[in-house]
Amino acid sequence: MKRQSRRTLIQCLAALGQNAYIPGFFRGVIFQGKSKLLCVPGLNCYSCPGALGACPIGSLQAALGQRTGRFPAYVLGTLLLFGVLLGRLVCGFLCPFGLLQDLLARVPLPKLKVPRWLDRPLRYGKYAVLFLLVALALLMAEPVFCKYLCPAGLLEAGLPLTSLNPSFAALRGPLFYLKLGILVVIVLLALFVARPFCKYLCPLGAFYGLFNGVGFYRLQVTEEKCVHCGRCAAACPMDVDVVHHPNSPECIRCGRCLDACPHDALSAGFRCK
Amino acid sequence: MRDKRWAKWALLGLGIGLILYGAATGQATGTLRKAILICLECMGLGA
Repeated sequence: MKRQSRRTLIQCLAALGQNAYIPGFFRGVIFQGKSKLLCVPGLNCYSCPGALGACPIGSLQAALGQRTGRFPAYVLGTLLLFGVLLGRLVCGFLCPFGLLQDLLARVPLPKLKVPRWLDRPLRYGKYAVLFLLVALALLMAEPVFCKYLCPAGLLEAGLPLTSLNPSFAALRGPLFYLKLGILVVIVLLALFVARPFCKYLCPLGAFYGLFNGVGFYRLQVTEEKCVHCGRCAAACPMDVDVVHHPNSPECIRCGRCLDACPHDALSAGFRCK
Repeated sequence: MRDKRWAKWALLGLGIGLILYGAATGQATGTLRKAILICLECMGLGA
């Protein structure tokens, strides 16, 4: 099986595995078992009817927003563990919202390249979102990211639960339609630009990206084999200059550069040393 | 290179330590209680 087919299969299995409480989708209720106390690695809303685990970003906001003065050790430890072990491999293989964007990118429409002058500053957007969600959770005790921005929450929880459960449908208001607008914009963008949410807005990707340079999963360039043809950079959906920055915080470890290299100059894997 | 090698093991240890500390002090059940409730904000419902 080819690398990208294998990746799609893993992404589908990860999305299904994280949302395997099938009765929830029929009854319009959420799973309340003990596995919900464990954080999943990707952006997967804990109010999705099928969710077996908790979203780490939602959990972080909930922990900070409790205003108990306690350091949110459990959630931060989980994020740190996923970050150092996998980095943004989570984005490329385990995140259900990443899978959705990858599938949308396959729709045969002309693909746009965001000009560098616009792309570079927008990339800092995800770090701003990460900073703001932590700051506002502390100040306002509210899950601001979940409430006003997270498209996964509306897609995985809001839309199915309001469709299945009339008591939730009655609560639809301006906030619901604001989030629906955000989701529609992201879905439309993903048809033309690869992974727009991951590139510009995802706080989880911003956090995991910090570990790409120091984590266990590494991409390596064998200088002796590289002829600097630029095929790896051209194949990269995240527009990473692979040869010069193989462990860039932007790299989602999708492996397209590995497929594109005609000289096997790139290798990826877990390295303990 | 040597520093990075040291850093990843240190971060791994810190991550595991924080999880164990959080679990031992009841954070795993306490702070994540919200996950087993319907989160109206996540769904874009409510005020």
